Amino acid sequence: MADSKDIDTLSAELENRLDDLFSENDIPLTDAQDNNLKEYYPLSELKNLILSIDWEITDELLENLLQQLKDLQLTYEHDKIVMTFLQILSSLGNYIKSHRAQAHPKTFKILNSVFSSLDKVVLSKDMTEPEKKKILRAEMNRYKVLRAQIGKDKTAAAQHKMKTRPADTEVPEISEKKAAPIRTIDVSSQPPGADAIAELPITDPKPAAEVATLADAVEEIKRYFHTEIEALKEEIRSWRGQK
Amino acid sequence: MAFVNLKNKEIQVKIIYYGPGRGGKTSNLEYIYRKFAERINTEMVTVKTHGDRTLFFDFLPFDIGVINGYDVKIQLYTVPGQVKYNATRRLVLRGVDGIVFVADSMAVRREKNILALKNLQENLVAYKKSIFKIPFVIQYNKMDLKEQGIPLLPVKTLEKDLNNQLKMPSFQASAVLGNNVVATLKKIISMTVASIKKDLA
Repeated sequence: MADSKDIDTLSAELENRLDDLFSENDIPLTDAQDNNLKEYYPLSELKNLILSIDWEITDELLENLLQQLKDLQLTYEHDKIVMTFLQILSSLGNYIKSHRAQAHPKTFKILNSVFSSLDKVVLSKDMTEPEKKKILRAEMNRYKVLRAQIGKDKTAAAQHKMKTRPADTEVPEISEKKAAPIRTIDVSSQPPGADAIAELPITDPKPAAEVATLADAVEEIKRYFHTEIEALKEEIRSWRGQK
Repeated sequence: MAFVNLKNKEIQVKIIYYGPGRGGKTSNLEYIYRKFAERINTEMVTVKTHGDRTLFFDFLPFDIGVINGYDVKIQLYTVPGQVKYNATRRLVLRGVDGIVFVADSMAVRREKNILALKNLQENLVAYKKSIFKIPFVIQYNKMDLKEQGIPLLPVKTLEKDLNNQLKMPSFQASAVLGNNVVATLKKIISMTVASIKKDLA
């Protein structure tokens, strides 16, 4: 058993020792130490999540990404430019969530590019409003190009479908395809920045329908490959049977 | 229970910084380490993910020196704040003597603070410890963000959410700037050593 008198004295001495050891007055941080100390960086969590998407796309990751974007929209609700960036990222995030690995390959590049620009805007304290708008406009343009590209690919795929699909199987498949949920780049329901920057309207009645058709086309291609693989398997089985 | 070697007159105290992810637990230890590196003469061990998050824990041991014949060694740990690492948190909590709960003062983190505190309470129960009895200090971190216009929770709200029942000492702090980091540390060390004294008496 410890000697309680010893412990009592220890407590009193401890206070003095802590005062001596952790007195902050006489040891300023050196420059190097200051550099090492991280300042608060409001986008750090978002950055982690976006970097993580390069590694792996999981439900949890995408949920966290969308939640983080919602949190940041609360934080920056009075900053229209930052809000617009966040809305674009949300649109892209929702699109990736819906399409996963089947999302347009450029989506991930644009996601990183939009984040990089947002990062620049948030961290650069001396940046003027026109400079910020210029950066935002560039990202909006990339976003619009992507949207157009998705629409174009969809149209091509739809045309291919019309040429190759037998007429007697088309009706039931179309009804099935209409159920495909497409909500990501439904700009009319989620207009990123439409109310923020008047000169950069990105609302458009066409894209939602275009993206829906693209999704239909992707589904169609998937079915096509599936059918081909099944046929190939059947052929191999048949070949093995003959052998 | 702290490790007390009466023969060698040595006391090892394990203090854990607990709290929601991204709340500033590691920043607390980093400030202490960088500010007092020469005095405490130690190494800080940290294991991080590629995204700079605490994967397992941070560990900062230092020796306070011989006090009244006892060599007092302090071991500071952090736990990973992310929800999915609860097994790691529970493991690190084993043998804990004192806890600093680092709450995030940002308004959007309110729910995460409450969940982290509940999680701590549950994990302590696994070791038959009570959150009401263990030496405990609450730190309301990121107070510096107010100057950047980021919405923070009022201290009254934080106290109501987290300290209404506990009634433990609390500090408003900024771990990145160092405000009240040392005050928090001194308080938890004093409380923990006092608790050990009480147990041994």
